[in-house]
Amino acid sequence: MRLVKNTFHIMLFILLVCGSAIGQDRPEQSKYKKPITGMWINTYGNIRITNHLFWVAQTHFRFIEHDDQKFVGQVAQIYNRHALSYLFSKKFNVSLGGVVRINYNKNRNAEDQKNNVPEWRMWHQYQFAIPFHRSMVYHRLRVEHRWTKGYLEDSEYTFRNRWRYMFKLKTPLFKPHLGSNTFYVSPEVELIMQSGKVVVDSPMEDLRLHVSFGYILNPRLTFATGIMHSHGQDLTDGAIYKQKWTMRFHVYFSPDLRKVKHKLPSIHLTD
Amino acid sequence: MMTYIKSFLILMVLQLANNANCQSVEKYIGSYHLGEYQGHAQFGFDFIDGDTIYNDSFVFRNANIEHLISSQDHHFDIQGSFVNGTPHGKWKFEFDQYKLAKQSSIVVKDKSYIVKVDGVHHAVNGNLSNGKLNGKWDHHIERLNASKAEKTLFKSQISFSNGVPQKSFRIENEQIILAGRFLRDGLAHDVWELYTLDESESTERWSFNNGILRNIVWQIEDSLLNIPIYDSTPFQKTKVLNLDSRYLTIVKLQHLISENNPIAWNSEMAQLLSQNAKHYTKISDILSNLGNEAFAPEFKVKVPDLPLNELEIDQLKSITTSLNETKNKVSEILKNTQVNLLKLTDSKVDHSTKVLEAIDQQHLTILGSIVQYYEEDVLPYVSRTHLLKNLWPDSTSYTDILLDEYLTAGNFSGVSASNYKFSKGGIDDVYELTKYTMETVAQLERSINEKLTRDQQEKALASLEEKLVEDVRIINTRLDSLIEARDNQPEVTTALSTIKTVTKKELTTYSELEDLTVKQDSAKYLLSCFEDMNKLITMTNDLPEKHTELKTLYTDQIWNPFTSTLMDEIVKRHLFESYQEIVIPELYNRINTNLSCKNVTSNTSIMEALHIRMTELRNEETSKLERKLKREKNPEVVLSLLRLKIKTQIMD
Repeated sequence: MRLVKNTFHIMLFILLVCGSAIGQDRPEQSKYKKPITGMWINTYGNIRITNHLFWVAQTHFRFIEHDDQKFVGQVAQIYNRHALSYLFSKKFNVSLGGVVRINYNKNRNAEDQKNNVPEWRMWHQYQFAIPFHRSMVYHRLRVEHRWTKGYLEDSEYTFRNRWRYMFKLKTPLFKPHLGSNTFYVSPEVELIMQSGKVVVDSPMEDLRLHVSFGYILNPRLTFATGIMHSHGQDLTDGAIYKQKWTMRFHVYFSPDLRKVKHKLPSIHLTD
Repeated sequence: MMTYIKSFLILMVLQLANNANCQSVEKYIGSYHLGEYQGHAQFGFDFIDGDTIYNDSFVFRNANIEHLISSQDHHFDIQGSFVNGTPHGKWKFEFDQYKLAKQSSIVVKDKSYIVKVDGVHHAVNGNLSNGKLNGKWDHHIERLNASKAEKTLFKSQISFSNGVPQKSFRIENEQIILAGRFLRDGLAHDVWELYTLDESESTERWSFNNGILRNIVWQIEDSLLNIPIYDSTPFQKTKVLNLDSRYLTIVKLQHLISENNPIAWNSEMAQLLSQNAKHYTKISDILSNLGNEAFAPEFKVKVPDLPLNELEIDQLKSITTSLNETKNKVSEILKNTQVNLLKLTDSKVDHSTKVLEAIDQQHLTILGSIVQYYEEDVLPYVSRTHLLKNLWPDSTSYTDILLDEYLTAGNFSGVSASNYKFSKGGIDDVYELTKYTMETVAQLERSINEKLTRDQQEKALASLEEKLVEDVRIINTRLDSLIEARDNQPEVTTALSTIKTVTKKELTTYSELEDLTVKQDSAKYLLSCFEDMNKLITMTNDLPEKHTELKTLYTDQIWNPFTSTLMDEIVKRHLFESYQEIVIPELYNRINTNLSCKNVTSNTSIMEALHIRMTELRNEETSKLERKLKREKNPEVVLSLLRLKIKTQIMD
């Protein structure tokens, strides 16, 4: 209950920040850009190191349309996210780690511009998992501290914070519980807010609405695919909203690196 | 000096007197045991070289008042005297059987209770000279009523000289009187006559000639019947015997085997002589026990001496042994309660027992009497040439077995009467007849035993079959209810239905058997099979639960960090899948395709072993085994890899 309350306060703060930004030099109307398309191929690794520690290792390949080529016109980002995750209980875990992301220039071969630039992040995350009937409900709070720079040769790193909240549901299909050999459907919504000196009137970076359909092969391997619609304010002009449709393909894997003798006779969470 | 000599002489005299005193007769007074007699004795004796030598007077008696009051007292009183261990002088014996007199009151006189008795009083008086009968010997037995002589039961008066009976003698009992005489050497001589007390004429006469009994004359009603015993032909060899019970048996047998014996042996004379002999034997036994071997009244008679040859002795020994065995066998069969029950329903057994009874009454009785003659040492003094023939009833042959009213002549399968030859006479014939009797009895015994065995088998089988039917009924009822309960598990219900079919089929196969012995074995086999089937039913029915049990054992919960849930996962998957996908279907398959009584236990064993093995394997290192099982689909190989191959081989 306390967790829900905390979440509420954080959201209220974000809205107040947004409201104060909108209050200045206000255009008549916001403007929605035409949606672009993309495709993500994401791998999520959760590698169990000890009874409570996991090594989070994610690699994402993100594509974006280019010219007439929808979805996979060009590579948009290659994304490496790592963290150590501590499992407090079945219902709560915390992660802390870093990200290195390579952003690829949409204006390929443009003069005075690099084709790709790195982006660095520190991130920490607080995830709550709550059983709800046959399903599971997740609340994820993630804070990212990011250093980005543009493609220009002399571009400097700018620092921003990201404030992310995600709500997710996983419901098993055709089976009473989430278990091996189980299909599931997972709707999720994530609001990504940002702050920083460069953020003037565009605190809402992204609102992602995503529904995915997955198959749990076993506790260590899951495949999923989904479609995501997202939209958010342009950093340079808060009145402009970008839109995007993304096809997502995910592989989740969670090997257990513990020695067998530590797994037996019980490998349960509360060991 | 004189004083010294005097003193020495006095000492010598005293010493001699002392020595003489050492050799004087010692006395014994106290309880004493002698043969069958136990009582109180008082006698003198010398103790020489470790032996007790009776000397001087001898008194031995017993009277028990408690016995007298409670039932009957056997009183005896023996008085006599010994000279250096040999009875000598006057001897007096009393042997009484007394009860308290019924019609008499007790008198107390001089502070003593005086009671009167009823019973028999036997008094013997006579003289012994150096252990031999000498002078007149009286035996007097009378019946007492209230201590008064009521009737003389037996009386014998014989005079002896140095153990040899002299001149005439007289013996009588309550009905008859015998008068006869001996020669000086004790040989029976002249006519011995028997009178009844009320008639003056003799009823039986034995004519002796110098110890040889020539003939007997019996008075039958008004006529006299002459029975020749030994004719005037001189004996080749002669034997002088005592006129005792053995001699009387010889005479009787001589009469029985003589060619013309128109009437059965019924000699009162012999009975009286036997009675007399018995009384003298009683005295003789007592004196023998007192160490006197010389005592024996020498009533002498002569008989032909016909000793048994070695062959005869061997045959008679063999006959004695065989006869005892056969008699016991017949007696056992006839007393056997099962045989007696069976003969009520089985005419053949009934007939066999009747034949055995007839054999018992005729063959065994006659052979038994011959054996008795042999054992009493009678046979060496009679001619054996026609022994069997003369003892056998005239109208029948030796092999005939007379059943009540009709005759059955040796018609027993296996025993052919014609195989037995009775041509030699003598003990040979007796030997042959013994063999025939023994064989016949053995044959009958076999026949009865076969019937008995069959009867017992049938009864045993009936009880077994009752159990079989009951077992099948229980199995069917059980299967029906299990099948109904498992209607959503077709693999179980199919297997259970197969067990039902196989059980029925096995019973049908059994019911088609005919041989009784085979049937009995099969019934037992089937009972054991049904017991195993019951076990198989239980195990087959339990298979899904065992499966679930193992599944739980082989399931572990794994944390899925992407769902934040624990997920069940089969561990040792290849092993468990082999169990689940290959072995379990194979178990059902074996029941459904190949079940019979022959392999039912293999099925149960493998089920049992499988569960135990799978439980063990859960905690064992199995990575190699799992690798081998990964691609193996052949049930035989899988069972072999699970080390259940041995049992499967038995199964096949």
